[in-house]
Amino acid sequence: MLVGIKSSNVVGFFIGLVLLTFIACDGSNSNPEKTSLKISTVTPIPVEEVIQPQPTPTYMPTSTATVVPSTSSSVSDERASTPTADPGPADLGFDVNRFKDVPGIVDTTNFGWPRDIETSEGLVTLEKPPIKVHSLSLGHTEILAALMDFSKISAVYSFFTDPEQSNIADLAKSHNMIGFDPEEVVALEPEIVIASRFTDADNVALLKDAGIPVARASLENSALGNVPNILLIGYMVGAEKEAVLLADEIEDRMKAVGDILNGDDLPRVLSISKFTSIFAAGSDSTEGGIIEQAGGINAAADSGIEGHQQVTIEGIAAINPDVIVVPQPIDGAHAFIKELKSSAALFEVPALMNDRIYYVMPKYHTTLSHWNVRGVEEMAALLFPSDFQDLDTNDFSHYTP
Amino acid sequence: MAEDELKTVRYKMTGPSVTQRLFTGAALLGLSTFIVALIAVSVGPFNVPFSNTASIMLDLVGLGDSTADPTERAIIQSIRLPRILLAFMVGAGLGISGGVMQALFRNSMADPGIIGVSSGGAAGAVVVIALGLNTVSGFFLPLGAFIGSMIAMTVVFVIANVGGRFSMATLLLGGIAVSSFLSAITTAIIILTDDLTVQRQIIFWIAGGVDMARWESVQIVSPIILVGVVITVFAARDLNLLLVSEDEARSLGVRLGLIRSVLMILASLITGAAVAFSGIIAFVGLVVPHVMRLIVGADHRVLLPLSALAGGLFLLVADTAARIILSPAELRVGIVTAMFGAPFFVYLLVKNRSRVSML
Repeated sequence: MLVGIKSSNVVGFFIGLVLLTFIACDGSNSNPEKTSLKISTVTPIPVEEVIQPQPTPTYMPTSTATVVPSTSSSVSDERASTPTADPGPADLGFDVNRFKDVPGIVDTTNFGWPRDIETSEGLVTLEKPPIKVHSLSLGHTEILAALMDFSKISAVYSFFTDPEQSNIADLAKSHNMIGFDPEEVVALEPEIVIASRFTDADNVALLKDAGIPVARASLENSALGNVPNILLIGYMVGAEKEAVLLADEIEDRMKAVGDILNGDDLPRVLSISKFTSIFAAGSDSTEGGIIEQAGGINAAADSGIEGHQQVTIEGIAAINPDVIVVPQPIDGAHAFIKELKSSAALFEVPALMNDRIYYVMPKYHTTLSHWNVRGVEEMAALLFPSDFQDLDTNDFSHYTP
Repeated sequence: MAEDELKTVRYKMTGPSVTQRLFTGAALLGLSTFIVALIAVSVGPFNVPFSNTASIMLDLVGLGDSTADPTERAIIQSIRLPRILLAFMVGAGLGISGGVMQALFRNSMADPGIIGVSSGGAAGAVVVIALGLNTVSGFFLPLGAFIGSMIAMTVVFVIANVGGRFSMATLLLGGIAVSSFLSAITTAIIILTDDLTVQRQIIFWIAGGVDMARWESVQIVSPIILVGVVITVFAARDLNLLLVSEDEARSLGVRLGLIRSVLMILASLITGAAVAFSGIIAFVGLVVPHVMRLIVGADHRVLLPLSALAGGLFLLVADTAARIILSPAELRVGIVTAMFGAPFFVYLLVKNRSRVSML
């Protein structure tokens, strides 16, 4: 027996050691270019998320919208037969068929008022075009800014004013700003609140309990994936024409990129940011979606990374990308790029060897809205500079009357 | 009775001597650490053949001339080795600090951060991040964290010495108060900052990790922790006397106030240095001394040095697991310490129920 230490403890200790050795040996044999283990531990805070503490709302606003608690999609027969509900496609100046399969629109032939929308938060009836709309996410606010007069957006949050993260910083800077207290939203008396898939359910419940109609619209990682969402929001706020125009622009610009891409020689692109530790954007990330739409292979997803996960310099060497992009605020990005370029462990990585490591504007790559198209265009131009040198890459316009 | 027989009788009555327990435990833990370190240096997301790893290691210690690829050499030399050493040092520091705090407060729930040192470190780091100084130089962050830890420690000591009479109870309560206050400041900065990047940086730093280890980090943190550990171990006899009976300790010439203060300051310095370079890694300082106490007993001459070794080994194992489980991505080491350490700790508690009640 070992002196002073119980043999069972020692045996247990060494069993643990052997287990570690087993795990370790397995890890050492793994192919660095292909890792099959896929466990998602998404850690960074999505840009879309608005953190809100939850005090009890004290104000009951009046609203032009009514909420039907039932999730049933049936609309009253009386309204369905109202002749004013459908003024007819000829009078509208946009292609009504664009709204045909948009999820959330209850009656896709009704372009008059009142109108109903049904999302996961239930049925909401809007009596007239809302003039006070509140969005809980940056992405939806960016979409709203393209569809309607910004003055109709009841308030913004402070981070909407960050020009590196937000595509509406110029508009938000001089706008009414509120904190993350739901009571402040209630006090604004919005006719409709648009929540995203990142919005906390308790916050939505608080707003609904206070009598505020809430619609939860999705925000997708791909530019084209957001088209139905844009059409739904356009329908919601009575900006169908603007929504169709925006949808058309997105599709045209994405088609222009697609037409140039020839599908050959797909570079492996790694999108990484450093927030004290390094994080890579894997599958199901906005950055990854942009890489793929721009004709690249998302190297992190290709290595088995899902969502945003922590990596190290060694991990980057193992992923071995052809191109590295850094979508984070410029101060940190430059320091990080310098660190990557000086790391001896990365000297043989193609991205470093060929000096293909780029800073990209985070507002095009991390916010979920139509502005991701700008990210796709910028990425395509970085990946295939000669092919995309003539591509027109203007910013999207905000709404003008 | 012959001398050998006397020794046998004494052994049966009292168990193995302190020296035997210490050296056996140290040998086992040292050997285990060596094996784990070898594994840790050999594995990672980048596949370096073991023969190349071995040749690089031998080359580094002046034996042989490695022809390994420069990338492989850089990964072993600049990434894995400093990380392994930092993980061991931080774990050792947290292990011994936890042991000292639990002894001084006679409280099994005491951990290295009990008098606000960890919260101070977090507040210091958060201020540096919020001011953007961490983008100017990589060393502002640990410096800020260390300064925060030392300020917290000083404030708590001043509170405990109010009226000229040092009180352990006041120290403990003052530590809790200062810790809560600093945690509130940290939370307030996170919530009030407009900058999402700053929020992310703070959250990830607080989550703890040694993934950004560099040789400079090891060079700074090692002397502080090593000197602290050595002095603490030399004071272990006095700590034993103090815990058995303060009167007896006094009669044997132990200066109670001095020894308490020295140990408290050393434990705080060690914790501050560890927190500065790794963020807040919970669980190690709380659990490792407990586990070692269950295995080797409560004699601090054995317990403290072995807690340091076991803490180092535990964090090294956890960090190695964190590196390879999701390779090429990795987990935060704090997740691994809690996920693997907590069930093991519960197992030990259940298995040693009778001994636990006496601790």
